[in-house]
Amino acid sequence: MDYQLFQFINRHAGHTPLLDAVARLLVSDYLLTTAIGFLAVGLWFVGQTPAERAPNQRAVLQGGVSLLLANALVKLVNLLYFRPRPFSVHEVNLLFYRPSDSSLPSNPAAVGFSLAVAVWLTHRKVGGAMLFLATLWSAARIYCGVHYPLDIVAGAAIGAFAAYLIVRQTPVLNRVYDWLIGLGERLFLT
Amino acid sequence: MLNFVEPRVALHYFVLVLIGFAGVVQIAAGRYQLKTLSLAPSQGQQWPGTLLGLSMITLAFTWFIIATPEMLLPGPAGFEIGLLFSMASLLALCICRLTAALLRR
Repeated sequence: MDYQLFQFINRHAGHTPLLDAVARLLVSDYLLTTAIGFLAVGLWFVGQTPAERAPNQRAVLQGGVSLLLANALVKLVNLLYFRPRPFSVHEVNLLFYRPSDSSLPSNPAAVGFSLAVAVWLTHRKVGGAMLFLATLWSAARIYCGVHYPLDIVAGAAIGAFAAYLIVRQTPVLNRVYDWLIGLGERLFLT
Repeated sequence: MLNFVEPRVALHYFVLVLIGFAGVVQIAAGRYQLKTLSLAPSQGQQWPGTLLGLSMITLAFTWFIIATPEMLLPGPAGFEIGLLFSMASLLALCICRLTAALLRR
C-alpha cells in the first residue's frame, strides 16, 4: 500500500514542467529548511516586553534541542534498519539527486516536524505555519521520488515525539533556557 | 569532519541566511518597536520595518535561486547547513545591532 501511494503521487512527476519546477524548489535542501528556520528563530523577537517574549524564546531553544534529539533518534533507527530508496528498487520519476542513506525514517521530515511541533506547542500561529511548510517539504520529497509516504510518516512521528519529550517532559532544562534567554536580552535587546 | 562538498553553495547559503535573517529581524523590530535592532526610520509605525524586512527576504531568496543552479545537487550536509544557519543568523543579528546603534547616534 505504501508503494501504491508512492506511485499515485510520483507518477505525476516529470509531466508538467511548471509543477516540476515548483517541486524542485520545494524539495531543495535549502529553501523550505531556511524558511522554517526563519520562522522558528524569528519567534525569539515576538512580544512587546521581555516577559511576553520569554515563552516564545523558550520555544525557540526547545525547538533547537528537539531537532538535535530527532536527529539522534533517526541515526539510531538507521543503525538498526536500512530501507533502500524508491529509485534503488523501482522505476520512478526522479526529480532530485540520489541520496545514499536509508529511506526510512525521513530525516527532513524529522527535522521539519521536530522544530514545527516544538514551536506549535507554545505558539499556535507560527507553529501552524511551520507545520504547513514541513508538510509541503515532505510531500515534495515523495513527488520527486526520494521517499515513500511511510518514510515521511515515520520521520514526522519521530520529530513530533522528540518535540513533545523536550517541551513537555524535560523541565530540568528550563534553568538553562532561562539563562540563555537572559543572556540574549542583555546582548541584543537592551 | 566538515566538508561542505561545494564551497560556492555553502557561501551562497551563508549569504542567503545573512540577508534573509536580517530581514526577519527588521520585521520584528518594526512590529515590536525594538529600537536597538531597527534599521528603518519608524517613528512609531510598523510598515517601514515590515517593508524593509520583506524586501530583504525576497531579495535573498531570489538571488539564491538564480545564482545557485547547484542547489539540486548534493551540497553541505545537514549538520553543516545548521552550522552555517547559526553563524549567519548570529552575524546578521550583530550587524543589525551595530548598524542600529550607529544610526541612532
